[in-house]
Amino acid sequence: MTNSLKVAGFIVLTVILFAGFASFIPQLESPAPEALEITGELAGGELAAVGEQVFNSAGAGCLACHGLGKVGLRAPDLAGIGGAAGERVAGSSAEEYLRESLVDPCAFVLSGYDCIMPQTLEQTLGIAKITALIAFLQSQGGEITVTLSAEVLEAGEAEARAGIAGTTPDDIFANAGCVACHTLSAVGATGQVGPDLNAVGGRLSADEIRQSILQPDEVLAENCPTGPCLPGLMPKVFGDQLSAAQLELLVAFLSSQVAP
Amino acid sequence: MRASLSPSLRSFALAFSLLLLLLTITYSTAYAQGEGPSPYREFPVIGSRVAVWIAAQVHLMFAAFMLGVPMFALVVEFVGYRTGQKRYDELAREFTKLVLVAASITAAFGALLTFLLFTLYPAYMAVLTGVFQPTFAIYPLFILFEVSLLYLYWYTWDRLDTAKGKRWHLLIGLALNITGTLMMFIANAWLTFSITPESGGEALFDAAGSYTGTIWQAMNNATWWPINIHRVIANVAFGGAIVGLYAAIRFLNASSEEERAHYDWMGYVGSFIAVIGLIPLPFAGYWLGREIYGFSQQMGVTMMGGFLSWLWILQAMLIAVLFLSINYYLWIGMGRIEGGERYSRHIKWLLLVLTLGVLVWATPHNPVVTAEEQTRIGGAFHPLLGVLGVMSAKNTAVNLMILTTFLSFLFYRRAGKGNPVQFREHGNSAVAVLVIVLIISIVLALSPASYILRRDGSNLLPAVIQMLHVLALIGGVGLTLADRGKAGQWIILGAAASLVIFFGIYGYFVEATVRIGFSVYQVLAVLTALIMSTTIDVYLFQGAPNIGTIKWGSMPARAQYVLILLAVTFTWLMGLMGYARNAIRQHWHIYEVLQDMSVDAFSPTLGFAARVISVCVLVFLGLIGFIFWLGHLGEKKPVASAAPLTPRTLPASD
Repeated sequence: MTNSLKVAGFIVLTVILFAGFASFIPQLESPAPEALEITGELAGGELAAVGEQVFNSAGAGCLACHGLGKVGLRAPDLAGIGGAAGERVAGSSAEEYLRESLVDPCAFVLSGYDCIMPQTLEQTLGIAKITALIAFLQSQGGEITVTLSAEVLEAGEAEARAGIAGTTPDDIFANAGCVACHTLSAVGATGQVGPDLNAVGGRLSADEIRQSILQPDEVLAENCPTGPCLPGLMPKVFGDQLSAAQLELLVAFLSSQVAP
Repeated sequence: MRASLSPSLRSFALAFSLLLLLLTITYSTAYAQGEGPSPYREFPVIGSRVAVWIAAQVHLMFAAFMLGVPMFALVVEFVGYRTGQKRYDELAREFTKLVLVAASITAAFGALLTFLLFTLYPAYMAVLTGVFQPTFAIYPLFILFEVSLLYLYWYTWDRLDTAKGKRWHLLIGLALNITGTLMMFIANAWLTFSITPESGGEALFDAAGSYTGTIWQAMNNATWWPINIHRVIANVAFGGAIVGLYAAIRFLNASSEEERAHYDWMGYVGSFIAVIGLIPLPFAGYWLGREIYGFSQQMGVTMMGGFLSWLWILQAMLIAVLFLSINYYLWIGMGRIEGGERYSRHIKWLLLVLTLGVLVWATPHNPVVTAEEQTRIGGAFHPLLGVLGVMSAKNTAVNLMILTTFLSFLFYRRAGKGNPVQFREHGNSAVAVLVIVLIISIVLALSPASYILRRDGSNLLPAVIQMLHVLALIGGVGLTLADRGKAGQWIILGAAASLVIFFGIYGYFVEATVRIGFSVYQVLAVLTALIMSTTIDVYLFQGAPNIGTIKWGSMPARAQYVLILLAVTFTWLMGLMGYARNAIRQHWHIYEVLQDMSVDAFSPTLGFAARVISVCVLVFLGLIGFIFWLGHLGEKKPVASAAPLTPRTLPASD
């Protein structure tokens, strides 16, 4: 009996040690993506609430650079942007300015900042989430003018599910939005946010290129146009959006870019 | 023994039948209702996810017991049949009795799991039953068939205890194992389909979310076979570990020298089977990982580099416990063999290799860091330790740990033996066996070489290394045939270790798509070394003079706690892998087809998972303790008389 109790104690102690070790090491939770449940027309505060979910999501990654009510790590504080948006560019309404800032962020860059914002949000988020984001940003001190119908949302979601189109490296490179941030003469890309990809095959192995696409923050490049690249700059969505064949095609294409 | 258990078995059979009925009714009702008004229902207090988690995990542990222990029993019974040693037969019988009791508990948890799934996740189960409808109907029939075979296997033990009848009995045991394994394959199809719903690269759902494939495609999905093979091997190891647990508990509570001797021997047999199963497990794991990457790069990234990355550190710690435990047990075991002290001087070196291997395996690839820390170190990798965190280093470490464990086993085997027999004394049949094994090994070793040449004819270095390895194998056999078998073994093992190290280092200089193939070369080199060295060793020491005896029963109590640790760790590891398998789906019931919209859609932290796993392990081991106790109650006579061929000391040849 004594031995049986000792054995039971030993088993419980072992299990506690294992559980304790597992609780001691860093704890990470994988959140579920925010569901956008929309039935019928959405506007005003309801749409802004959806936009807030998008704003805070890891997929959009806004908070990696921007602050809200405080200075961002490397991009402007967005508090009050709803009121200021209509006055930033002459002739542009607040909605137009915000949409342009999300879809083509380098078109207008606030003084004192560089254009380091990814220019791929339209591809990675889809038009519905972009619209919701605009509503949320307008709600920061301005009037919400945008609306979103369920049909637009569904079309946006279907577009996101369909992934990135293209069967040739040029098409994939363009459709994935790489051209917006990277310079690559072979495809006529002149982006000035991420590293110059001319001759990337000469300095990175195919393995490293693949990793840079799937896990861009694992090794940070030194040669972004404005200095060393920052974590969170490149979207981490391409593992989801590219098929395995497209990924390998892109990797092979970039590996072949060896001429300076 | 049988007479006392029969009434309880009848009541278990009745309970089992009722549970099957419950399962069938539950399934029929839920299926008839379709999706129902709500895709989710809430389980009180602990929530639906934890309720299903515990029911599934405990059921899986019992299912592994139900599959692993009969495998163990069949092998042991066969050994008894071939060697004529009655104690093996008694050992097989003792464990079959425990399986009988476990059958009803397994069914109970299976029914509970089914009930919970259909009740709490009706929409998910509607999709699953829609795709797998015929298998859901066949599965209960398999359960009935398996239980019938189990009863037949148990109740015909005495009746078929004749020279001719034994073959029939072994055949029944084989049929029992095959049926159980096929059942597991069906259940695996349900599980793996949810992880990788594609077959042969073909998606099985259209854009509208409707299933477009056949039932065979659903079963034959990307991870079905890797999981099947992984689980078969794991069940062998698990069965051995549970036998070791039983033996250890009985050893510690033994009241006579004879009992201690019997359970000491049983513990050794159990741990031996566990080692046999454990060694190929990492290889099966690599295959599974490769298929996951092939299915979805993103899923692979989530698994190895995402929020689950620290899980592998925990897994490395558990594997380290397993390897160190097994080796420690063998080292202690040498102490009960006269002559074993000759090998004790090697232990420190074996321990050194194992420790280094553990340290490398436990090195994280990318530690969790903040954005600022990441910017400071220029990425997610530690500049120095990051080098040890990659698969090249880890594969090398685990293969060397396997070779080290094999060395421990070889030393254990030789502990009580004198000089080996000259190989040629065994005659032409032994030479023929060795040559056949050599040919098989050469084919295994050459297949990657030919693959390398076909893939990239410009880089001959890997192929040359493979060819050198083949030459080493031939050289090892040549030395053995020249009656220098020990030297031959060292050459074979040394060549395997060299090849493992070479490809481990070379892996840093090639692409991932090439490097992933290196793990196969390393595995094949180790496997061929194990097969060839074992074959040579069997002949070398068959008929070799004994220089001492094995003092069964003289193992210290700490050795029994090592066996207990082995079983607990193995069970906990099973739970952890269950969490990993499901967590890689993240917020999907069926990956990228049916999204989890419940409150439990997020994947919980490792700490939370560890607490749930611990509960499952304690529930399982508590019930196993109850089964052991029931088995003990059923004994009418002391073990000594049941196993007359178990003297306290046996020649080291035993």
